[in-house]
Amino acid sequence: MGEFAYTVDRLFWLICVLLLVVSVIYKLDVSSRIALTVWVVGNLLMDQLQPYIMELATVNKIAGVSFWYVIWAAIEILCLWCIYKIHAAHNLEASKLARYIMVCFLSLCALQFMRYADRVVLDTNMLSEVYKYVVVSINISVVPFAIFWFVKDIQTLRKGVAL
Amino acid sequence: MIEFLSLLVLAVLLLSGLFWYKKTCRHLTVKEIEQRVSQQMEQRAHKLCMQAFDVQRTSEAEERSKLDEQFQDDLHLYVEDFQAEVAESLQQNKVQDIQSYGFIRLTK
Repeated sequence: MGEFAYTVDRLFWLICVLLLVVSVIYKLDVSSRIALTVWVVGNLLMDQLQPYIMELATVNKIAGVSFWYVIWAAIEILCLWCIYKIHAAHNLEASKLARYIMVCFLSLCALQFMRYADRVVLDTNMLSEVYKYVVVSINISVVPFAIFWFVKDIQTLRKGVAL
Repeated sequence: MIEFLSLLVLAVLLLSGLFWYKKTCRHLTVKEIEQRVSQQMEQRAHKLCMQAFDVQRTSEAEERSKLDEQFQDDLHLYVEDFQAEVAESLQQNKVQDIQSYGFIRLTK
């Protein structure tokens, strides 16, 4: 089940790339495009860095675990900050998809915090499975929401053209 | 010590994220409220469109003038009610940095 979930996660990342292409072709809402671009690039970055972070985390057992959780949380908040900064710089209004993606990044960071507290601070280790599957679920959830809002945008654009 | 520091860093990251998220969302509020109110008043807007259509279709001058007057009154009432609804919603949602909306002054 674990491998299957990760395969599905990668597949859904590819679908996000396709949705990005669709949003460019249909000239959809800029805010959504920015957020989706940051989401795609952020996930690609995390995927590429994962082996190196794993290697660094195993060098020192004590500091390594802390490093693992802090670095993921830092990357997630960096992505969220990028979305905020681009919106602020261009004085853009955040679309529903942009806000949802920001919430996803926040949730991932919160998950890192809770899992770290559970594993290292409290030493209860109750969130092991939850951690794995919630990360994948959040990654997967972006796709249906993006499709839903893009379809709505395309329908609205078509109505506007018809009128 | 490392555990405590790491937990602190994670907490700071999370709070920073929340802060930037709130700052990003603040811009949207006025437009969102306007969209919500216009959706609620869609039926009235549709009725106004039909009234305008009737005015266009009427050939008799006197009747046309009466219908047009009625349409103008309903249109002004619609715009006033729309602005009042949006202004009320802005106050209820405590939207900052807006002193007035339309002809309505927003007081604290």
